[in-house]
Amino acid sequence: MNAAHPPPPENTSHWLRTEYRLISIGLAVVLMAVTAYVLGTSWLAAQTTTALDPPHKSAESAAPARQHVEAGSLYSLELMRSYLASTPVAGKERTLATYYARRTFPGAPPWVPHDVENPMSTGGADCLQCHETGGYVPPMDAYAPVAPHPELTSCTQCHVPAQDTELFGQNEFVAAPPPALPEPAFDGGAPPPVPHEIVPQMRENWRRMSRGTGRAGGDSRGPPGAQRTACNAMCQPAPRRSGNARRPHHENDLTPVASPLPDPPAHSRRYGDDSLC
Amino acid sequence: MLTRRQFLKRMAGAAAVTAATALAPDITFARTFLAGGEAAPTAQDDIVWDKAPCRFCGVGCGLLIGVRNGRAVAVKGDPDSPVNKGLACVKGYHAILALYGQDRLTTAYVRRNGKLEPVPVQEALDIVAQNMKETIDQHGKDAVAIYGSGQWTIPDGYVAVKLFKGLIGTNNVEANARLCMASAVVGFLTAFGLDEPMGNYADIDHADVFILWGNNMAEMHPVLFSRMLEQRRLRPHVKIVDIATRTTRTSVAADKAILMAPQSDLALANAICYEIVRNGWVNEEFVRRHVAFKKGKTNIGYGLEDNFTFKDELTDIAFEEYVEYLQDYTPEKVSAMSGVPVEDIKFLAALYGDPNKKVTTFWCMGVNQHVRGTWMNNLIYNIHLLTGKISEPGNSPFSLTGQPSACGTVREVGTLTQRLPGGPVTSEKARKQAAEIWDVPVEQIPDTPTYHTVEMFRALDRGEIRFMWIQVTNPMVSLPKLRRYRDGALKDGRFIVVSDVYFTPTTDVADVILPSAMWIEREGFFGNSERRTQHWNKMVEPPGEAMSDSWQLIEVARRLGYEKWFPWSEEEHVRAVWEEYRQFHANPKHNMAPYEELKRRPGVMWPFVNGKETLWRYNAKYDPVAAEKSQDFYFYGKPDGKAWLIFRPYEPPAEVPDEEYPFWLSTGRVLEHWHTGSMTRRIPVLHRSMPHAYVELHPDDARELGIRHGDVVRVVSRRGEIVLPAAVNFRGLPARGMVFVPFFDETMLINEVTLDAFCPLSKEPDYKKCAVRVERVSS
Repeated sequence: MNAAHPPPPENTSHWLRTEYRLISIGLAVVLMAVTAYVLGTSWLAAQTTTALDPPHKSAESAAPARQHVEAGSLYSLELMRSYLASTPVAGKERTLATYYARRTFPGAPPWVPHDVENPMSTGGADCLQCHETGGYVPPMDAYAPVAPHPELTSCTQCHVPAQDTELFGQNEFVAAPPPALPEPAFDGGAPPPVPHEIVPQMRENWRRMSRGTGRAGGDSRGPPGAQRTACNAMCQPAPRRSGNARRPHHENDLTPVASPLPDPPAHSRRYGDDSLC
Repeated sequence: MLTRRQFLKRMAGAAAVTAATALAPDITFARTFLAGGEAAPTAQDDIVWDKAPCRFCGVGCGLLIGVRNGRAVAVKGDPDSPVNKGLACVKGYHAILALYGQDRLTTAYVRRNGKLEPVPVQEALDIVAQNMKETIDQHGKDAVAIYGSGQWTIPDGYVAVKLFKGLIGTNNVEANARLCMASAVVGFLTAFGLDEPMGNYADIDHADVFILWGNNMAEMHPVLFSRMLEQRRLRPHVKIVDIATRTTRTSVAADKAILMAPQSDLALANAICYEIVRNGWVNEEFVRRHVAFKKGKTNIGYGLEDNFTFKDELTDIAFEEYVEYLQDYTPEKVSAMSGVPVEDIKFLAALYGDPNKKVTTFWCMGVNQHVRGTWMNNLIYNIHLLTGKISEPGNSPFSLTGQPSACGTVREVGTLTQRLPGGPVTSEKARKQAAEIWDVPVEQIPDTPTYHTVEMFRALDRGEIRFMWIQVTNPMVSLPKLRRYRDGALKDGRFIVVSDVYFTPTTDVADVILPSAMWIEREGFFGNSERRTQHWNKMVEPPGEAMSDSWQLIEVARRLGYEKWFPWSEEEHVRAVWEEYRQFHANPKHNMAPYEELKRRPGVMWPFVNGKETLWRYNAKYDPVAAEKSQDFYFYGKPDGKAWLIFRPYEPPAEVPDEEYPFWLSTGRVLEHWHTGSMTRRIPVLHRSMPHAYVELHPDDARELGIRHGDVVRVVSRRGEIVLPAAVNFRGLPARGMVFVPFFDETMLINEVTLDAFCPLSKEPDYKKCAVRVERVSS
């Protein structure tokens, strides 16, 4: 060691200084890497076109993505759970007969069987205060069915009040038959398969159809139904959408068990009987 | 016997059960999966589903119709349709019930000694042809006329045009679409040289702001309205602004509702332009490259007198000159006359002017049924052109229509007196093209327009027209100043043929009634507001002897000796007509899709070029015609390749309230009923919801007049009067000094009261403004 370069003082950290240098170098390397990464990714991002649609969309790709029209039916699941724990009001349950009586044909939007307070409203929050969660509504003295699509807020677009009035003319329309209710798998046991398509365009609510909050089943016995809907759905995958002329109907696999539609009372009984799921 | 398919199904089922059991050990599973469980069809399995566009409004929702045992039994929205994506409205879901009214016409009727007698259809067609021939012989070919509608399928309208313009040789072809979208047509033609919107409904998915000018979309275009609400839910910055003369469901659902005095929309639109210029929000590069400034004639009249004529002349102006004209429309001045606060005018201008906001404007009857309807269309384009917000996803001035094929049939086929499928009758090129395709001498196609709708019924009254065939429409409910035109039709020496599906006030004036096959009882095409052509198959048999309108026309044409030009069979004629009609539009500006493509897909938009739909016209990114000429936009409808911004001033309406008639009257529609209600009133769910018409009053006006909700009142104008129940705080809330009456109810005909003033450019009547008096009759 020569004098021009005296060794560093013993205690002050020859060791520490080397380490410090290493750390600085390490930090610098990391920073550079991060900078390079950030610059690189943002540069790459800037290369993508800002157009909302790729130019010259092909005619086929112009077809829209399916709208998830029933997506909202899961929004209120939590609210429903609390409802399901409540005690049903005897004698006020909705039955399957009521369900069909309020529709022109199975799958048609039901009309509104009660007064509507504000005819200038399109619905939305006004309707959802009862129909979002369903349940017993004391002023109406009835169970409100759950809206299967609470995200569609222009309710009056499809659901119109029905005044008691003379018809303009008689109509000889004959409705499609309701979907047949399936036999339970075996007596006193299995849940029934879902008897109908679960497709958005029919806009049905299987939760309401089964035990659900609308009490369409008409039976107040049995355990809470939230589980049940889950198991019903699992039991029988719904047939794929059949309603398309471009795909013949008979191609449906997994068609549910057949049974001709019984009278509505029997119907609702059958819904009641399968409550052991 | 177990087929391979069944075996595989069961194997799959068993595998699913095993998996499911592992996940949920407490649950047992249905036996269909297990060996021995026979999968039999459910009760709904014999329903056959097929696609059709909705029968009713111009939105053109795709529906799937369920047919069982030869009858339509159910409807669902077609999830594959880009229009409605599976949703429909209450009219659409119940549309099939319109087929099954008990009083459906199943046979023809002929009036003998003042009484309608049922006759076989073939005999009635003989009588029609005979009368037509006699009228032409005695009074000339311009004494026969046909009046159709925007509910005509494309083949119906095409056959009518070919028969009347090409073979008989008269331009007496009109359609009720004149009463609802003629102003939109002339607006497009004056500004762009080509009809129909540049954008499409996908604009809704891109726009940040929706501005609705005088249209109650929540009730009249409910599916598009729901699509807007959906966008607002998914993208909370989206705003909907409603500008109207009346508070409606749309106003209530909008983020902001702006009320304006009737007719002041002209000034309001100019004030918005004024603010855009003043604040420097003009898209200068766009305007410099793509916009030409023009002005037209002013003080143009109202068409109230018979034989009224008007011809507009457009002259060039400089941008500075245009700005000079705008100085009359400062927000302060316009606020004073329109009742719209200055801040609201500036707010609207700021929405349009913000370069970072995509703005879509929707309008329909409030703008079109207007004594200055064409001007108002021009003014909306002016706003979009100044800001360069046009022909791009989300930036779209979008004119909506009311009838399912107002665009497809009336505008594209050209069932108007001044049109041929390939252009105006005054154009030699269009006449030559028609003569070639139809194989007739070009001289046979007349080169001057005759009567527009209002004038056609005046000519019937005057006796210049002696024979009129009315198909798929109900003018004895829908014409303004109804009494004159009804009395005219009932005069001696007039022969009226009506093709319809039910008895209506129009069949009351008919000498022959022909029963029509409607909608899915025949094969057809409609064209909706977004240039989408939609095909449907015949799904059910028509009742009795009912026959499609196109085939009725062909039957009569054959009786007149024109068999050679209609050589097709009844089953084949729709396809044959389509193939012939397509030739008119065989160019990249308007090419229509081939038959097979339309049969397969839920509608195809034109121009259909190289197998692709043109989604945004005039935009080089989407439109191959524009791409040939420019990098961004090219407005190829005009010879200079530019869009024309036409300055239009404010002018007062034809009639304003005074002491004797102190109220404005506006007429319109309701959600439940479509047009004159002859179909929808026979659908129980719709009728129960809206059983009759009403006159809607502001609560303060009602109190002053001592009228309460449900009272019977009389609405009187200089033309006539009607008696109907009052509605206060019901479906809508008119401004003070204004009343509103829907026109669907044939027992309470508001058109007895309305005025037949029309826009001198488009000849479309103004159903939204006349002066009336309201009196209480009883409670």
